[in-house]
Amino acid sequence: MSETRQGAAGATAHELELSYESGVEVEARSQWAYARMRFMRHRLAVVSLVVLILIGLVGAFAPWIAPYGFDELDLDNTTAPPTLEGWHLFGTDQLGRDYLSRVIFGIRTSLWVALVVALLSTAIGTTIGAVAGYFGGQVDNLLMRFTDLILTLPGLAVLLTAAVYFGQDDSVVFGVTIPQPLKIGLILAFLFWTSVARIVRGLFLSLREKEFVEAAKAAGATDTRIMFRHMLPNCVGPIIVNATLVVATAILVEAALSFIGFGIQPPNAALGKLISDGQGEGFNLWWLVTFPGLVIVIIALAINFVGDGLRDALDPTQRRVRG
Amino acid sequence: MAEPVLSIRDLTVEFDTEDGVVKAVTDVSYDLYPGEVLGIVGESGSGKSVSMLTVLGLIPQPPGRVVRGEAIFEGEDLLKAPAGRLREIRGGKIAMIFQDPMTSLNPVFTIGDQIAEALLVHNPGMEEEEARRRTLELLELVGVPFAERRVDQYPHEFSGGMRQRAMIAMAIANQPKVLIADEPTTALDVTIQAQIVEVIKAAQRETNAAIVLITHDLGLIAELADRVVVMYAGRVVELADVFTIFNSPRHPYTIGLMSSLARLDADQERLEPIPGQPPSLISLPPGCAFHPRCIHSQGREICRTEVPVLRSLPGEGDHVSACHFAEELVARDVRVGATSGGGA
Repeated sequence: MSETRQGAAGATAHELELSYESGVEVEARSQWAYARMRFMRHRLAVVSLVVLILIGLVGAFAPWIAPYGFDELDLDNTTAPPTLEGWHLFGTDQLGRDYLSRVIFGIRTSLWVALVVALLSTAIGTTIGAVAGYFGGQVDNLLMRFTDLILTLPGLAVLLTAAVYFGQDDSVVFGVTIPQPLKIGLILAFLFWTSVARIVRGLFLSLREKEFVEAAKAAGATDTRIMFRHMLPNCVGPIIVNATLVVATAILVEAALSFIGFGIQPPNAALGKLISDGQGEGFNLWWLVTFPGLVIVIIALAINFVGDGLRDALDPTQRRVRG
Repeated sequence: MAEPVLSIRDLTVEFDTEDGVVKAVTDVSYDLYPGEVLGIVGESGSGKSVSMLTVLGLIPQPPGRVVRGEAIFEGEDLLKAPAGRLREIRGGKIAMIFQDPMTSLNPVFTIGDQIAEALLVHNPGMEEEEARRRTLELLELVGVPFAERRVDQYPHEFSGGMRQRAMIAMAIANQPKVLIADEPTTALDVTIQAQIVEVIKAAQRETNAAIVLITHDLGLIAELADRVVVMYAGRVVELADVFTIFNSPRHPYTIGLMSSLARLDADQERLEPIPGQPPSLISLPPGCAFHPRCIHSQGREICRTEVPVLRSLPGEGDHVSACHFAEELVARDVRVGATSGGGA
């Protein structure tokens, strides 16, 4: 949606040199163009975004990038420290599996799960928050008490229980196979939607008093149309920022869950799982813990910086630009 | 006269608040004829807007409540129409121009998108291209220069006057039968007001819509309206054509309004304000709601005990007034001050 708008604004910006007779022409910019400008000024965020995109590409194209398969054994070459020999840059583990490849596949699984969590929790939270904020009254009361209920659940205990009961293998629902990592994502999403719901509800409560909403009503728009076409686009900033933070949290929680053995199950490689596999060897095989750990830290940090940059960029009332 | 396009009868609307029942509109009746401009004037809180918002189903219910009355539009009582039907009518056959163009446009969509949306909502099956072509036509009609380029701009790139033009374009997009203009110039400065008046006139020429002009700006009324409804404390107190209202008002409140208006064509040392404050709509004075402020009532009993009914005055055609002593009020020799910009 934003692309086409930018495109349209860009096209007219070129034409208008001819159209105004007087005065110095200032190039017309859409709000997205301004947001992009503000984001680009946030250097740390830009660097983080580049890092994230690279990591994301590595994850997406893991089977083509990784020098070995994630479960490819080389029993002659176990527990090798990082070396250029055979491109075992991150060394090998106790079974001789190339650790660089394992980490690359781990990135793939962890990012994929985190994206599922972010998208799903944002969708659930936005819908619930929008409905609660728009209709208010009893509807609001009911939905928000439900949100409070989810919030009061002891997260880790629920996660562990759910993971143990529902999340240990692939399952088949109506003939569709749901891979095990996806199920972990679904469980996390179920717990992570509350913050978006509260944010969106708050925004909707103030937006619904705005005159353009009344104008939309007077123009004959339906409730659904007003909610999702008129009001929701006014909330994209906070929603996107929150979604990025959810990605970071999801990666960390998934890693923690996998670390204690309830998250992603073998033979799938996940970053947290790799650390837990390696930690038994302590500091003797230091590369087994260090590399996946570093990757987790880099991803989580980068996402947080991008989130920061987006918050500054998407909030037009905040003129101050850091970096 | 032709059949009225919109006919409001005995409309009574109340709001339940913690302090009591607010009688926002009581027994309001008036007709709107095709192609005319009907001005509704009154102080803030006199029920000018509520009556029209009720007709469109735009008052929040609860706390709002339609106690009685009907609003007949094309043979259909809008007050009894289901929500879906009202939605079809809103923005279609009855459209509205809002007071504040700065906040009535959605900040995240281009002007063109918002006008096109008004078209697409009411014309399912209309092609995007067709909608865009029509949008450009509308923007040119309301006098937005460089429409071709402005159509892709966002509201924050428009000035107040230009935004109000865009709002008018949106309102007339579907060739409405009735156009409700709720204080269309209040948020604009005086020079822009004059331009907007021209745009509204042009919009009416184009669509031949009947316009309900809600305002407290008597200058605007003089400029645009054909007939005038004067409201006080939720009731219609006087209704007549615009010349009669300005030249020979027959209600003390209307007379008070006229005397408090600065005029270019009369020698006035000071303006005469109406004494006192408008009453609280929760506890209206008994009898005529205006009697505590009325200089003609002179403590007469009937003003305090009996609510005056709206009655036509003998020999004055369609002129109706809700004053017990309308006949006593002598015609004043004043001319219509045809300058816009004077406040009431």
